[in-house]
Amino acid sequence: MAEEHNAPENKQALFEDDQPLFGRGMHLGDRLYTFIQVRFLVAVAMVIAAVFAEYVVDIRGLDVRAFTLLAAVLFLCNCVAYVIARPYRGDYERANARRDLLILVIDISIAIDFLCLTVALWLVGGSQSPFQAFFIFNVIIASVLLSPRATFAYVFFGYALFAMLVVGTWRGCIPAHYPEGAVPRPGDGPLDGRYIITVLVVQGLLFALIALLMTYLMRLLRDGARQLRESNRELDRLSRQRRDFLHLALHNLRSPIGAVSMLLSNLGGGYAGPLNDQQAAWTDRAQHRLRELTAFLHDLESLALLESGDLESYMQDVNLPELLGAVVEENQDLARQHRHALTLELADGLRPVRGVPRLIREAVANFITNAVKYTLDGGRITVRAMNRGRFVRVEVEDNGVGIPPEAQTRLFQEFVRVHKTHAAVAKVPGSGLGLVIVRRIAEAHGGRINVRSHVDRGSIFGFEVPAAD
Amino acid sequence: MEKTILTIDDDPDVRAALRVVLEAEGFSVGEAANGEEGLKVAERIRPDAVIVDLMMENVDSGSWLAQKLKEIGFRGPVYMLSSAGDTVRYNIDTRDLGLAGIFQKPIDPTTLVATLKAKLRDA
Repeated sequence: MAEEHNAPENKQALFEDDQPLFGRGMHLGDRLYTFIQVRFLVAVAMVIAAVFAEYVVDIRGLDVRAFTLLAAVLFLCNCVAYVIARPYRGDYERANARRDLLILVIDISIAIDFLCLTVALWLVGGSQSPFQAFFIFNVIIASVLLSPRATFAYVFFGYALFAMLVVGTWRGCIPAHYPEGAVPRPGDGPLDGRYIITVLVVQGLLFALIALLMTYLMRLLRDGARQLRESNRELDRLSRQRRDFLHLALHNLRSPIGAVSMLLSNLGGGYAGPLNDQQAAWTDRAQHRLRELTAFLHDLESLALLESGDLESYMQDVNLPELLGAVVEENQDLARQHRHALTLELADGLRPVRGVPRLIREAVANFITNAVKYTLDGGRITVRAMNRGRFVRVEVEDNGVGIPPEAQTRLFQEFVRVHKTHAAVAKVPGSGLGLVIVRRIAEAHGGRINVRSHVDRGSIFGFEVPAAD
Repeated sequence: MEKTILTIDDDPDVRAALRVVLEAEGFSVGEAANGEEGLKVAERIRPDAVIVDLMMENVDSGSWLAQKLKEIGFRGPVYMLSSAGDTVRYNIDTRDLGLAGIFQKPIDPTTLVATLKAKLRDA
């Protein structure tokens, strides 16, 4: 039987799976204590009801003594449960430490409840008694109080007892009790007034209990829905706040890094006088580390954006030729630094795509910078776009160092940088997040990412985005 | 004739780094720390080219300034300095601004000087 682990103040537990509806805000010790109190009331009510039926409604043949004995058994069992449960009332830590014991007490108590109910039903007429509706009520109570798994277990147990009673009475294995006035008269004779009173009292009681229970449940559900709405609003606000903060933090980190890097470039370029070999080497190393840091910050920002969960609102029809032209233009400086020829080839009749422009730019820029990094100086890098069914494929081809086949499958996993093993480009900076980001961008657009590569001949990285029409 | 470059950036170290390189390469340099100041300096010194930071004090003042420079009749090349994440984050279409080019921070001084010299020689 699954039970509550959370402290009373944890309201978020309301819709957790495999948790009972009632008492979610209470810990195990408190819940058991509440059940025990209710069970004492039930035992007393059984005796009062039997006396009332015998002496006020004039039900004949009702075994009041047996009823009282049954109530006494229930009362005594409940006393034992009370003695066990009392020390854990209001003590979450202690109750949690003895969780197994408390669950055992609950299990045994509920099993005794079903047994008592079956015996009580037997005493008031078995399958002919209007009291059998209390079984349904008990099932409802079980589903409210217990976890779903435990409810089904107990309902099966209760049904088995009920079936035993009905079949046993039918086959004569169990002696039948039909108190006069508590069950309908056999044959077509007029209805007994006492039976009418019994039916009215039992059904009235059931109606009232079910109404109370259901209105309580509905209130719980409404409260839960309200809490959920409030939590969602709060989550949205926190998410926006987190994004804004992250962006500000990243920008404020990048700015000084950029300034330091430019000052180092000036030093390295001899604008403050010539450097000796050691000074030049250290300046280069400092620049290299700064480039690594900048790339990592950039990747972090892209991942944060992808995980923000509100990409749908940014989706729009994208003019791919224009976008690709801009990305290629923006990266020409980088390509020129390595004497690469960076060109753009667009297929005729290229369809517009549906997507988030800044992410598509990011994906293409990522492929280009990778191609620049992993192609020996003076290489050739081509950006292409073409229609592919209901998608448009964008790819970047280089004639760089290539990737071994065994490494290609790991390329799109976090923090994997297979090129690091290649001597010619071993010092290329990178966080290992770039291709993961492109993969997530492609997936966010319902497309895929793939690579074809041959060592020392080059690679083609591509991804697909859906066509707009 | 000595060409004048106006650099607009809210980071004094970036302005200082640009000044050192540009002056060493024979340019005259004007500076401003924000968009409004940049506009005033541009009207006063009439630069041959402008280099402007896209994000100043966490606001996209670069795009605004590029537009304003056009409005006051500046016809020379405008280059934007940008951190890679900013154009993506703010979805800024730099092509709409009629820019001569974009330098991603940190700028390589050799590329910067070569680009400026080529552009201003053609002009």
